[in-house]
Amino acid sequence: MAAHAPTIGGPTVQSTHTPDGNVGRITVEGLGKQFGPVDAVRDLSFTVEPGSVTGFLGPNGSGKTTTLRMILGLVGPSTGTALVEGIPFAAHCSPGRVIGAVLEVQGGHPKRTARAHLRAAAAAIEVPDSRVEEVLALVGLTDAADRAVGGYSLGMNQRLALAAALLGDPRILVLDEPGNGLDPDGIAWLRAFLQSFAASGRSVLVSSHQLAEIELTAQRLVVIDHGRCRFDGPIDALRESQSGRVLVRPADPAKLAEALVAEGLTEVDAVDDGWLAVAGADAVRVGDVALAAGIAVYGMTEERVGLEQMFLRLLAGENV
Amino acid sequence: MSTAEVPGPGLLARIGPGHRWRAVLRSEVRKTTSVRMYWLLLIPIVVLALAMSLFGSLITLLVPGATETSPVLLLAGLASTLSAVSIVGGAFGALASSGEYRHRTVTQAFLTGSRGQVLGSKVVVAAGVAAAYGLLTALLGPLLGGAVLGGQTLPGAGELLSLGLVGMLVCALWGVLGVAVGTLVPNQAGAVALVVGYSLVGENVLAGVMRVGDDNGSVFARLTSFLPGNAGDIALYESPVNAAGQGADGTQILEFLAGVSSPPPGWVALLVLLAWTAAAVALAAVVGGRRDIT
Repeated sequence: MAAHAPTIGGPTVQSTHTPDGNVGRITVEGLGKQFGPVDAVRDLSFTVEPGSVTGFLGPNGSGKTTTLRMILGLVGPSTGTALVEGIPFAAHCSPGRVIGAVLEVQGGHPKRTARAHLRAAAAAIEVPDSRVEEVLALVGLTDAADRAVGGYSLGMNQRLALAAALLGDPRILVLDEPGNGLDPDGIAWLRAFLQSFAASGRSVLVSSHQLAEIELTAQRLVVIDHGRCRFDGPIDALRESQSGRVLVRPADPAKLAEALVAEGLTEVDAVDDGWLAVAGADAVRVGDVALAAGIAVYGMTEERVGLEQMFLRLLAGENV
Repeated sequence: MSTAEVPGPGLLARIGPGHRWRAVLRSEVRKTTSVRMYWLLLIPIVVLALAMSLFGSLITLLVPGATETSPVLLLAGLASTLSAVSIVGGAFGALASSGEYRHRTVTQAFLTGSRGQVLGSKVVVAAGVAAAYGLLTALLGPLLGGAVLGGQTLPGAGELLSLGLVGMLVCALWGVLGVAVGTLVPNQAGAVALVVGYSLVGENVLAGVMRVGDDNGSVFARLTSFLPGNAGDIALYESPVNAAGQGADGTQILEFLAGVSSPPPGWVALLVLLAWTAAAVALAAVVGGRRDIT
């Protein structure tokens, strides 16, 4: 932390100066929100690191949207803190330049054109109107810019919301289910866009229940269920913690199984048509064992555990 | 770690620099001019101005010897038109602020400016638009009235100017009151119904109850002058009553027109309306500042 960092409990730091180490970082600590008797979010802690796409996963009603809205200062937390670059969202002088957000489908006034909607936002963020044309072109809405947004499709509304989020050229993007309503082309485009956005050293926090989409985009993962954090870390760490297995089709399954057990690979199951499933090893290891035992191998494939299965195991409360 | 332990920014930092307020205001102006609402509300205003002018001049034409009083009638007609237009101004403010919740654009607004800045810019824009409604009425009323009256005696320029200025002020304050109500009651239909319904019916009922069985003596009856709608009416009707120059009778005419007992001077009435407006905006700032946008 830089010398400017506010000391907790010490004298209040008046400036909105951001400690250098916090650029692009979101820090959520002990965050909780009660709506009446309902605990929407409970004791949630995680960080979003600059230069990465963080996937925010959870089933419907798990508290994802509430958490994102607390980060953005739209919902006041009951407990804990959500800090954007070290300070609460509302303490930023010009929040639109720090963080851009795509929340629920939130186009604009149905009678207002997309261009007018973006120009109003551009005025508030203090960026020139030329920036409006840039973001319109970026999301592919230039031709529809003078149409009232009331006639927009779900996908067009999502593109408009993304355009608005990008107006201030923010260091952080927060997206709540951005894939909703996008066609496959749009989803592929968004995936590439988010990856390049993060590769430029900025950060992305994207929520989804589309697990496969997150798996392809995110490097880090936060999984919540019933308002509680189930996992927070690199997606690779989650994958490595899962025991994958190798499917192998040897000339002599029984002989290979014997050889594998002798090598300490005891979880060997015979599956259909002379295939063996070997847990706790990769293809190289199995191939070496087969070669040493002098058994011909006709086919071999590594079976990866998909994020979906990991996700379901997480939600079932299993340890990962 | 609890919320209280995080060092919050000082008051000055929370208010933010002036350029941010101007930026959010510019955004609000662009939002206002990019939808039709502000000029669609001109339709009831023109209709009101026409109706009042015709009504006033019809009396002048029907009543024998009314030509001498026509300036008073025109001023009275204009004052009552301005009173009605101030309700339209209030409706504009309520529509503008509650519309942000209805169309969920409030999220975008709060992501690009602080809540104080958003409320402040709405206050300024609503005051400006409602004052423009008042100005239009003040210009249109005498023109239409004069056209119908032909060569009749028109009120003096000074009387028209002062009534026009008071009218613009009353309209502006009602526009701001509307913004506060629309922030406190984010349901758009509810907010507009509250502003219009209170102005047209609610306050009359309230004043009636306060004055019941009373000959202007009780505290409650005197308090009727301090209701926001009546306060605005007192300020507006002071000009025609003064023009009539009836002395003590003038006070009774004013009491009749504004529906109050023992009215204070017009400038006090304006301050009363200002106080109501300031209180409503302060309440809206607190409630709107804490509201969860889900």
